[in-house]
Amino acid sequence: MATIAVTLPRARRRPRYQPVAGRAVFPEIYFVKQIDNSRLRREVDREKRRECFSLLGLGILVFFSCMLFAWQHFQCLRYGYQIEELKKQRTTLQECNHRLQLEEAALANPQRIDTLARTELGLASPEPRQVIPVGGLEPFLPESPAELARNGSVPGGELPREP
Amino acid sequence: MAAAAVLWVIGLFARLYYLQIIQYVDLMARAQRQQCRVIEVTPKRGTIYDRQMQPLAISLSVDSVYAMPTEIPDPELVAKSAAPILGLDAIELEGRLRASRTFCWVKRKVSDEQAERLRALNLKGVYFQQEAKRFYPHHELAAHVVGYVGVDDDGLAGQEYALNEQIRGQAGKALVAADARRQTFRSQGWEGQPGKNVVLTLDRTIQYIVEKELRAAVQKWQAAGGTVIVQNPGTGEVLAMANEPTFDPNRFQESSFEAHLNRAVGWVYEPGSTFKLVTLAAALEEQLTTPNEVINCQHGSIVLAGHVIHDHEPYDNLTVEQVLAQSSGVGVIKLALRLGEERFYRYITAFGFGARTGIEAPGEERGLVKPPRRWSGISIGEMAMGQEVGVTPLQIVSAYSAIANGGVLFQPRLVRDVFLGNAHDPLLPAAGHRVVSERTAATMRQFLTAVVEGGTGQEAQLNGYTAAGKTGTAQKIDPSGSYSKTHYAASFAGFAPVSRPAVTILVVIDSPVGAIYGAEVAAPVFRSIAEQTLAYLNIPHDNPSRWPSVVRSLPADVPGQKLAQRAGLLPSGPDSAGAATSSVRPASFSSLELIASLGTEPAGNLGTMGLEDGPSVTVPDLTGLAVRQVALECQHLGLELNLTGSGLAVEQNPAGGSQIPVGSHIWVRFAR
Repeated sequence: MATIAVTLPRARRRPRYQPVAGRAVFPEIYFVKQIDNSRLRREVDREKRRECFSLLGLGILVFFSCMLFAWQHFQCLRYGYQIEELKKQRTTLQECNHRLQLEEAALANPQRIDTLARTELGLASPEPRQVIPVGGLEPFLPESPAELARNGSVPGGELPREP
Repeated sequence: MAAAAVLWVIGLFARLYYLQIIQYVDLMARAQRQQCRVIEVTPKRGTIYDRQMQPLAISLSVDSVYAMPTEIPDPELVAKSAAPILGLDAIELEGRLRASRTFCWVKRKVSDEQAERLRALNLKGVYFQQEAKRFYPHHELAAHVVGYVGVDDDGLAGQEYALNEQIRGQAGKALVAADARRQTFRSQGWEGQPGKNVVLTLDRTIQYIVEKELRAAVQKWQAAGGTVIVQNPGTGEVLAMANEPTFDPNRFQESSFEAHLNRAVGWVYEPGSTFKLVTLAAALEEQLTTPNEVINCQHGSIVLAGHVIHDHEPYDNLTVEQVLAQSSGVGVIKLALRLGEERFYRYITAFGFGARTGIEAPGEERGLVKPPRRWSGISIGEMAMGQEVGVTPLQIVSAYSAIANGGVLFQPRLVRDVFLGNAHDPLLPAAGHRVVSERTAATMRQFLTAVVEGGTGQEAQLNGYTAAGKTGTAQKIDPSGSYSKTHYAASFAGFAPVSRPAVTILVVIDSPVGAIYGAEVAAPVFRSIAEQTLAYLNIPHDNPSRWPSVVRSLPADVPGQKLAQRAGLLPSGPDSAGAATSSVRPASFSSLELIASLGTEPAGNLGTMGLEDGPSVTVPDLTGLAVRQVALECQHLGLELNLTGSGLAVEQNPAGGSQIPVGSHIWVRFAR
């Protein structure tokens, strides 16, 4: 065990040359003793060190877990904001789409087109002879009345006879 | 120092423990109260389309303005600032702001411009909320069919009302979390189901044609109103349903109650002579008469149960066909008497009179058909002529459709599809039942054609198409209960073309002034609507005999004019650009006449006539011509055109210069 010279607190020191009652006065002599403990090695307490490291690791784990939790929480919030923003964008775009549909419908209003054609373009309704049904287009009613009447999908074929 | 730090940490953990463990429940509850709120997600109404998928009614989000009166320091100032922008009375608004404490609507569903101007004022205690508003882009078009919604987005009329449950959708609830800046960062819950879209059987263009012609007729005859229905006789689908007076569903509050009445289904009137169809069809079906039987019409009068019934003309002997063509009341009364009350009543009900058709339109009337036990001695005669019986216009048009399609009475329909995304609601197929045999229906079509060709309905003759139908003129009932001497319902019901009916049309004009007869008032409307509708539907012309002289006023640079001149369609020479009158028949109807006319042209220019294999023409080189020019050229040469693509002609078969018989098909490909 190394010994170190320690200077006592000043308050407890007795003043030099102060005589003590009933005692002879002797001067105090201090010797400096060189202590070399460089060759000494601290004994490693492996158990304590393991405990220490375990504690440290646990602390780090807890810290990072907390950080992970916090990160997740804030990411969740951030994504929440993003999702809500995207939802808002989707609604806005749908709304815009509806507005455009409405605008298109209003612009394609037959009455508006009729008026524009007559007043601004000077067009007139075609005479019947000017309308040429062009081949290749399906006529509106492909079946003749007789075919329709024979149509098997028509339920009930009875005539209103006497009961 | 260390002790202090330790104390601080202990204190910190103690506080954390207190807040996170002990006070956790209370604080979480308080946080949720501040951050979270449950909102009701109002579904947006589905869109209503016509059969071409053109929107007739569509919902958009608009701002509604509300106020929190407790937050408003000076209600008078707010009222005076907001009222002029919103078109409100400032005093009335101030009163509302003072009367309420927590919440009051300032104005709902304001325009974007109003909302912007109000936002710019930044009034304290005044807020905005998004609500769905219904828009009808075509205004009056099909207003009675489409209907309208109230301020709470509930359907109040038309399909908006009839299909309200499907169109409205289902409301949802969402839990929304927002931060201190009211920015939402989480929402969860059921967002409800948006409303389903509805596809109607109406066609926007036909509806426009019908409304335009009806409006013109009602104005011309200063009538109290009118209605027109266009139906596909093969399926019962209603292609157009128009009423006058009408209204704009965007501003339905500003129109009268009378304008909201859908006369096509909700108006019961005495049909008059258009009802004679039922009497004759029943007599033919029961083989109580034949088309050529001559009926003595007794010089236009008959005594029935002590009452003398007069015809409008003193007819004597008429065939059954002439009875209908001349609309002889005496003739049909005699046929009805042969049927007898019970049998006649059975046919009336079989044709759908006296019962609702089941169309998806609210407010449909069933009409008035008394059972035979409540008939008087004269009832059978009156009903044979279309009096003493109340029908709706829809019932009449359905009965005529039954004759047009060969004897099957279809249930009229207005709804074609109800869908949301790719999910379609199952709709029942067209349902119908046979009321008369094909033979009877064919005979009736022949009778009705005679009415148009040489009877009372000559004003309904179409250019280029055959038509069949019947006029009707019925006295209306006065409030006193007797027949009016001044108010009539003039009508015409018919279909065209006769060989393959594509449309059945009923026109009813209520109380016309200056003329009362259906032949004069309603038949021209039928003609105008039918001609435009058949052309729009691309129905080929089938009537070459009626192609009257028309005034032509094509400008000089009209494409195809040169070709028309070459084919003799237009007069050539220096005056050709001006208006001239010419009688023109389409080549496809009378090829021989056409070829004869082409014979005057230089040989090899337009065509030559084959001597052995019938008429033939030289196929012109169509390369580089537009569709219109090619169509005109083929029409004039009597060739059937099959085309593909658009733009200018790039390929044809047979090639130019080939000799082919008239009526042959020519195929032309167009490209840009």
